[in-house]
Amino acid sequence: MRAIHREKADHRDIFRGAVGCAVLAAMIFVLILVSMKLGSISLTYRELFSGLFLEYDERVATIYDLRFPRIIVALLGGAALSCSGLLFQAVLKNPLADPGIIGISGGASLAASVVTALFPALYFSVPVFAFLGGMLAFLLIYSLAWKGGLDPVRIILIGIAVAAVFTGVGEVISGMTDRTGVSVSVSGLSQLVWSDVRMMAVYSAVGIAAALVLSPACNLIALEDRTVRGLGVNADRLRFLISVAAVLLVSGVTAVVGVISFLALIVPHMARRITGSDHRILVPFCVLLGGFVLLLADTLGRCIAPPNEIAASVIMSIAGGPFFIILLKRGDRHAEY
Amino acid sequence: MLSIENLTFSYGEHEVLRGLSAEIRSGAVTTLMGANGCGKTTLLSLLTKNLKPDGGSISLDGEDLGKIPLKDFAKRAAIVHQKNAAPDDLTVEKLVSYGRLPYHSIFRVSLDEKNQKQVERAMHLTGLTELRDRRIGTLSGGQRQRAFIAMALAQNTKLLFLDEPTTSLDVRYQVEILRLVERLNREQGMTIVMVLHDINQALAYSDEIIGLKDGRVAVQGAPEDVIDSESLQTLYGIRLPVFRAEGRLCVMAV
Repeated sequence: MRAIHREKADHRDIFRGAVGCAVLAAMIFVLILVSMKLGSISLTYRELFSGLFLEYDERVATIYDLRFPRIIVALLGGAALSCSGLLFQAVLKNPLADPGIIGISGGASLAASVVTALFPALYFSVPVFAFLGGMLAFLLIYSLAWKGGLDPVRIILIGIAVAAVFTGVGEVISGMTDRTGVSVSVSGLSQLVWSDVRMMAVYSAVGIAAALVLSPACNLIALEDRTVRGLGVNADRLRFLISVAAVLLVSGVTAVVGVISFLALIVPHMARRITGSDHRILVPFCVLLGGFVLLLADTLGRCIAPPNEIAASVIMSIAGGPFFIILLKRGDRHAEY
Repeated sequence: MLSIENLTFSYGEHEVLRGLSAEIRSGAVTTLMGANGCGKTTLLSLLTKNLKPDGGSISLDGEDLGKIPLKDFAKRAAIVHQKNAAPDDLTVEKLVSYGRLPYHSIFRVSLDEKNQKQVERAMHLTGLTELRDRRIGTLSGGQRQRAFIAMALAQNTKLLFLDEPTTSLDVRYQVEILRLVERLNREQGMTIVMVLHDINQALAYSDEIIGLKDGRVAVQGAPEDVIDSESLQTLYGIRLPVFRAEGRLCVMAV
């Protein structure tokens, strides 16, 4: 009797989370089908299916090479970015933290641009440098914002300043290197190829796996640091591990598709609204929801004004800016007693 | 249980503790008292390993506090801080089960029977068994404070620190918490060290008072023996009448 009663609320939450994940997975499946079909080449699903699995079709092959990598990168990128935002929000105890806004992506993107411009041969290890750049940005923001504690608004303000500096330096470098014909600014979600997919898959998989493992730690650091310490747990070490995973996630994405702001802010927020604050549920939910939202943004961007494309990052900014303001006005949702 | 010898500590230039020595008796309720800035919160932070002393020593059962690893310390002493934060939708039981962290890895999915038993015990002692599935955000101030005390109790320690456990609670909940503390001491044999702001509550619920003044112990002993108008004048710099009502020592704090 007691055993059944035990963890009832906990089980109910997890069950609800699992249902939510299943619904999202179904929605993603439908969206993939829609996204595959939309674009300048129009095909029926029958033609698509036969071209993919039965016989060679030139038009299907084009779609396979152009649209498929894009769909997968959007899914993986949205997943990794959202997951990264979730982890940053946990570490910084700040529901407004977004790796794009506070300059982590900026650091990663700058490092990626420099390496791409100077050492094009290092293509596959660009995310490693992006990771180092992101880590540097994070440590910079963290140490500048630390003042006996982390003040949410202070982090955002310092992060915005750091982001501005990185963006500026990035523009200077891209201005200087443009003449050589090497474009260093990342092109967003268009012109992606299968090698991009492979690269992103590796980094995202590692990062998401780390996030899943660290999800109980994210729950724990929601308590006061001193409380965590009193339980014999080194909160600083947990925070460092979670940060490394978060930076890894955002760096892998940034190296391939550039900076996308607001996604990592909106998705975790929606997820918390739907599933609550348990990171064991939030991490998988954010992964799925993030993939869905970015693929949706990219698909919309392709269809709003053909043949012109609106970049997914632009759509995210237009939709995300007002959202950010609403969140700012509402203030911190973390209760303190 | 705890011996403090010649303890010094300063925040930069600002000297807070200047050679403080005291003994905290096993099995007693000891209350740290004193005016704002007298060093009682600093002392509590030093006793709970949240700060490191500049000089002097603290020993727990004869062992140097600095040499006890954090995890071992968490099995011997639990702390209820004044400020507590938790997600609104965390259940009481989940919060209390965090108290078992010194005994198992945080990456463990569910508690084994032995750990669960301690969680049950902690909820039982604090009267939270019925509220185990409630979310923290839906609790009253007193229930919330009890939940954080229960988390500390789940650590199953002999020693319990409480930093101003009654602050910002209604008087009814204040008394409820202090009675709980008294019960933990009398029935569970726990040694209690707490900081209290209310002088009358300190007098009523303490076996031993440690009154600090300018970073040193100015008053130490049983309330009956050491608290009078003189000692309060020393501690707080104001003369207040002390009298007896219903067999209890009282201070007219108006």
